[in-house]
Order: sequence, then C-alpha cells, then structure tokens
Amino acid sequence: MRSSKKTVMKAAAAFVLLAVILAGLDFLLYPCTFMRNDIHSVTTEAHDDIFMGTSHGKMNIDPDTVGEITGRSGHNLCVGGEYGIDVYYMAKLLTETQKPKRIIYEIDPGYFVSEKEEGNNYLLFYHEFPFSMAKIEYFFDAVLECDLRSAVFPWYEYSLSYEIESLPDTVSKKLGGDYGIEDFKSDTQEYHENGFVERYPVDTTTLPFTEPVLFSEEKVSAQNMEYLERLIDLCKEENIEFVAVTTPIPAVTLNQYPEEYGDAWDYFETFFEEQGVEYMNFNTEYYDLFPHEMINYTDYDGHMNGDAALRFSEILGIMLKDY
Amino acid sequence: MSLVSNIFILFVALSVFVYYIVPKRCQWPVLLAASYVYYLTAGAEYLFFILFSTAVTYGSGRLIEKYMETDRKAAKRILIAGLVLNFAMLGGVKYTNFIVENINALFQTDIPGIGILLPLGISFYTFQSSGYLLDVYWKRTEAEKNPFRYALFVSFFPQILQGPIGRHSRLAAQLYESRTFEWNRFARGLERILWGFFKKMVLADWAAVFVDAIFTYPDYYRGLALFGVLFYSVQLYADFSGGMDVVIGIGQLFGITMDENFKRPYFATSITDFWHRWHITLGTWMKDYLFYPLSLSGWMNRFGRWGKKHLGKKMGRRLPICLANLVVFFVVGVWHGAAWKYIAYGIYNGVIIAFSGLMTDEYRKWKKTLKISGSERWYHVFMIVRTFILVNISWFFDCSATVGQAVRMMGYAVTSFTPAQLLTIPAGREGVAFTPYALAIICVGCVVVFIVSFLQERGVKIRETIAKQNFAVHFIVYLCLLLAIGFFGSTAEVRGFIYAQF
Repeated sequence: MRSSKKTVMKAAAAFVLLAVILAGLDFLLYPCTFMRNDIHSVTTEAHDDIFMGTSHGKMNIDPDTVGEITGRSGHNLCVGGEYGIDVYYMAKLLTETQKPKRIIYEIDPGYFVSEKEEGNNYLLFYHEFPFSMAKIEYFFDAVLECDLRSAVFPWYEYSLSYEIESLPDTVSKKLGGDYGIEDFKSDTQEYHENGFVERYPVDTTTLPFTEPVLFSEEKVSAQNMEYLERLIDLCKEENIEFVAVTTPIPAVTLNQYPEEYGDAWDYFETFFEEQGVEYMNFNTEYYDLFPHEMINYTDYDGHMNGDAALRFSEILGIMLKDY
Repeated sequence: MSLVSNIFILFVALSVFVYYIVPKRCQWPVLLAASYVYYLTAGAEYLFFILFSTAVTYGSGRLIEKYMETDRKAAKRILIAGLVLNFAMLGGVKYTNFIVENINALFQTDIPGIGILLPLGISFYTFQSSGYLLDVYWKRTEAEKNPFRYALFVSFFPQILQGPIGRHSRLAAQLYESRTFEWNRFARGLERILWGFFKKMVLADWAAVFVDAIFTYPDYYRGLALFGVLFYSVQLYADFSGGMDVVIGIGQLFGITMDENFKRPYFATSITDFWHRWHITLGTWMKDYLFYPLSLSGWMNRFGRWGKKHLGKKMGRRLPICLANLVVFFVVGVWHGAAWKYIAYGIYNGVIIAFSGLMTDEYRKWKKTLKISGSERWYHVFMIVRTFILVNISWFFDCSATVGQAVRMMGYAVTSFTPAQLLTIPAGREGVAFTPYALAIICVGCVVVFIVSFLQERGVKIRETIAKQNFAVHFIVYLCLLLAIGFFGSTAEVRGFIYAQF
C-alpha cells in the first residue's frame, strides 16, 4: 500500500514536472505572431466594428480609414487561413470579452469550397485565446481532431524556422506584455496596430498569373456554411450587427473565370438574402465604385497595395455608414 | 480517429481510466464499448460489415463445435460457408471495383463500380475472424459461447486499424481477464507508445516528404529513384512498426500483450527470413491457414508424386512447396490491395522464395566451391545487404502507382543518379530552405533506430534494462523521446498510417 502510494506520488510529480517543462517550452518557443496582437487588442479594448475574414480582408481593409468615415472604432481580425470555424469562435470570444457593435465578415468564395488544414492553422488563433469558454469549445470542436503535437507542442511547426537569436526578444515581449509591432514589418508589407496589413506596391507588369481557388456550388463545404450560419445566428442572439463584404477582385481575374465567379456571387447573394443579412459585393452591383485595374493590386488574387487599400477602405466606410 | 490525434489520446486515456475503476467483471464490457465507440467514429455506415463478420463467424464457430463430434462433414460445410461469407464480404467491398475496371478494360464495357469506401480494418478483422473459425474446426481453440465476448475479440480497438492479426487462443483469454492497475506495465506501455510516435512522426513522416515527391513525379526526379526507394523503405518500416509500437503499447496499458508484428526485418538474411520478421502476424496467418493446408493437401501430394516421377526425387519434394509459396504470396499481394502492382509485389516475393527453394542444393555447392562455411561475419553482412536490395526492389511495386511506373523507376535507379536534386524537394511548410535539415533528421533518426535494432539483434534487452533503472531515468528517457517528437517531428502535412488503408 505504502509502495503504491509512493508510486502515485512519483507519477504525479513527474506529470507536474512534465507540464511545467512543456509550458516553459511553449513560452520560449512559440513566437509572438501578429495574431497575438490582434486577439489581445480585441479582447482588451472595446471596438465598434470588427473585421473578420481572409487575407483579402487583412490587406484591403484599414479600420482607421473606415472609422474616419463611420465615426466608429474598429480592428481588423482577418488573416489568411481564417475559415468559418475560426471566425465563429473568435466571435464567441468577443461576446465573452469586449462585445462589438458590428461584425463585418469579408467573404472569399474560395474559402467555402476548400477544407481547412489541420494543425497550425487552428493554433494561430487558438493559441492566442485567453482562457475562456470559447477556447474550451474551440478545443473540443477543432483542436481535438488535430495531431497530438498541437496540444503538447503548439510550437512544433515553428521549431525548424525558429531563430534562436529571437528567443530573448520573445521572452522579454511575453514577460513584459509587450505588443509592439516593429517585428511585423518586412520588405513587402507592414502590420499596423489596428490589424491592417499594408502591402507595398509591386511592379504588376511582371507578376505571374496565379489561379485562384475556383468556386463551384457542388464543391461548397457543408461545414464551412454551417459555421457561417452559426456565426450569423450568434450575432442575432447577441444583438451584434452582421454585414458581409466581398472585396474587389482584379478585372483580369474576374474575366478569366466569369462563370465560376458568377456562380459564387449568385450563391452568396441568395444565401445572405435568405439570412436577412446585408451583403456588399464590390464585384457585382458595387463594381464601379472601385477601379479593378491591376495597378491597385499586388497579385492577381486580389490583395491590394496599401494606397489602393486605403481608397477602398474609404469607399467601404461610406457604404457601411450609409447602408 | 487518427492514432496520432488529440482525440485518440484522450479516448485511450479515458478508456484506460474507466477500465481500471469499474468493477473487474465490467472490464471486458468497457473494452467492447470502447472498441465500438472507436469503430463508430469512423462512420456508422461501416458498422454493418464488422457486425456481419462477427455474427457469421460467431454462429459458424458455435455450429462447427456442435457438429464436430457427431457430423464432421456438416461441420466442414459450415466452416466453408462461414469462410466464404466472410471472405465474400471482404472481396465484395475491396475487389469489386478492381475486377469491374479490368473487365471494362478487357471487353470495352462500361459496367459501373460500387461507390463504397473500404471499411476501417476490414482486411484485419476478416483474417482474424477467419483464423478463429479454422482454429475451432481444427480444435486449436474452443468456440466462444458469449457473442459479446466474441465481438470484443473481433473489434478490439487498438488492433483493428492495422493489426496485429490476433489469434483467439492467445488474445481472447487476455481480453476477458480482469486486472488491477500496475504502474510498471503501464509505464512500459507508455514507453512503447512514445517510441512508436517517434518512429512515425520523426522518421516516417519526414521520409514521406521525399517519397511523395519522387514517386509522384518519377520522370522529373528520375535521378532520385534510388533515394526514393530507400526513403520508402525507411518510411514504410517506421510507419508500420511505429504504428505497431503504439498499438501494442496501448494494449499494455490495458494489461494485454498482443503478438509482435516486427522483428528487425532489415537484418533478415533472406526473403524467407524477411517474412519471418516483417508483418509477422500476416506471415504466420498465411503459413498456418494457407501454406500448410495447401502443401499438405491431397492434390498437392499427387502433384509431388508426379514431380518425383518426372523430375526426380528432390525436385518432386520441393515443387509442391514452391507452388504453395507462390500461391501464398499471390494472396499476400492481393491482401495488400486491389491493384496489379500489389499482385506483382506478392508474386515477386513468391518467385524469389520458390526459386530459393529450388536452388538450395546449387547454393550449397557454390558455397562449398567458394569455401564459405556460412558462419563468416562478412558473409552474414553480405546476406543482409543482398536481402535488403531484394526487398527494396519489391518496394518499387508497393510504392509506385502502377507496375509500369515501378519498372520504369527500377530502370532509373540504375541508369540515373543526381543526388543534388534532393535539395530541390521542399521539406514541410518551410520549403527547400529546410530540406538539408530534414535530411539530417532522417539520417540521425535512422542511426538511432539502427543502433537500437542492432543491440536488440545482439540480444541486448534495452527495454528491460531501462525498466530496471530508477524513476528519474525512466522520466528522462520518456522526456527525451517526447521532446524529440516536438523538436524533430515532421512539419509537413499530417499523415495517417500507411497500413490503415489496407
């Protein structure tokens, strides 16, 4: 009896030590991403408008410019790889912390016909969530199915690229609660405190054409649509305004795949009409409000350069104010 | 529910916890419930298949036992009916589309295939339950009276995905036995699971990055065909044996010792020896339930007599064995999948074993001429290398998309060699910048596995040695294995286990 008690004590001590080691490694090795700043901002400060969606939203919408027109504060919580499930749980987190007045969801049709990759794509968001019901639900709904390393070593996908020299910086940032943005500036883009990523202009004459993820109604993922519907329902329950937006895509890309884009616009217009949600599509009825020439973009997929993004944000602000 | 997912780990932890806290008489029902919950997570539509296999073999087993003493012919008919039904189900879902495709190609017809995904573990539980039926018929085991206990034998969740193919005489009693928690056994199970994850995530998944690139674009990477097959030999071994370590380790957590499926196969000195060390439970299944019955059958005896009369005494003795080997390895090939490449893979192994059998006297003469006693160290190493090469040739069939591609890649392996091209294959999410790093991890991982295997081959009992150490040493060993997975595990696409698809 005494020996078994001793074994249990040893096992418990080993478990605690292991937990401490793993937590320590997470602290040291999980880098400070801009999502850390974004989640920190939206959970600690009150914002009227929260922009959610994909990389198009991240690079095409500047909340400050929108706010100048609407008179409302805002933060851009979009990022590449942000699917409906992530948006839904971030919205749930917002309802638990700093409930916004409005959620503006940037709709990229390609994200509704593709499946979210497992692993780090969830961790990018999940890891930064403060302890909350939303985090627990997110874990059981998404992270539970992931590779076991996502729970034990959230840093595993950074292990190869992690630069050891940035370790002291990571530690000091985390210890000091530093959410500085100077590290998020590169030769091609710059992150702003409001979550907007400003892309620097590029020579569009030399850009290679990249095929976007093409929409087709048969390929629409039931899971992605389910989370969109849940998000809309959540906003209705919480009395949060919900607006859907599709940012302008270069004319050359639209003309290359008129059928696929046409189907996408019809599909989402019908869907949002049924849901009683305002849908602003800058590739259909609002096409003429923004010039779709390549000069405004940094790629054929529709990511704008900083200047164009500010102009588009102004237009979006007007639309959001007036609708 | 993938074996490497958080949900699986939680599922195992919860099952183990419940298993040890419930009253002892409820332990096996807990295992049964856990097994069916696990199976249901793969899709409720596949439940029919395992229930069908369980019901057919359970019923047949009871009837065989009933008629065995009074009406042996009836027992045999029941056995045949049970086996036909069980294998018909496997054949129906696994091979219908393959047969239809070939008929369509041959006769220019347009017969539609069936739209069904292969049910989880069907090849494994069909063989396991068929083996049980034969064992009951041969009186090697008693028919299970309780249908729920028998259902547990067929569905025991750790092994259902990729084996090992268990024997009723060894596994069943363990499943139903009641147990108390033992820390040492539990710790050894954990250690085995960690070792399995290490092999899978550090070695197999990194090797897979290169295998996928080379075998997906064989013409572009023609200069890497040799590396492609070597990486595949690493991937397949680390993936399958790693999976077995996880499965057997989980069994140990419940206090159940499952049959070993690997015994350092790349140290084999012949293809026959290789099959005694690789996927052992499939090999012994084939030996016990197909090879022996076939080679000892009446018509095989008649064939042997014909051989003796026309080809000489020795040849007459060996021919039936060779033919039985060819049949066995044809079935091994078919078991692996519904594709010509798997049939070629099986036949290739069968032909080598059959040929070796026929050439035994010649080999003996050659060795005598060359003054090789067989105990020389260099000769042992030569045999290992020779077998490794022969095995790698077979992997071309296994890994290629078609037999044609396999043959083409074999040609590339000996005519084209551009190792620098390895550095152009993107490794994980970081791309080509980390390719050298990934290659270094594979090399070091191989060295670690080689040293462990070499020591075990020399009779060093590594796990027993670790078990004798104090608690701190255990903790450090586990921690090192765990951290190695975190630091050096593949950052490429998350993959399932290869043998789970069979």
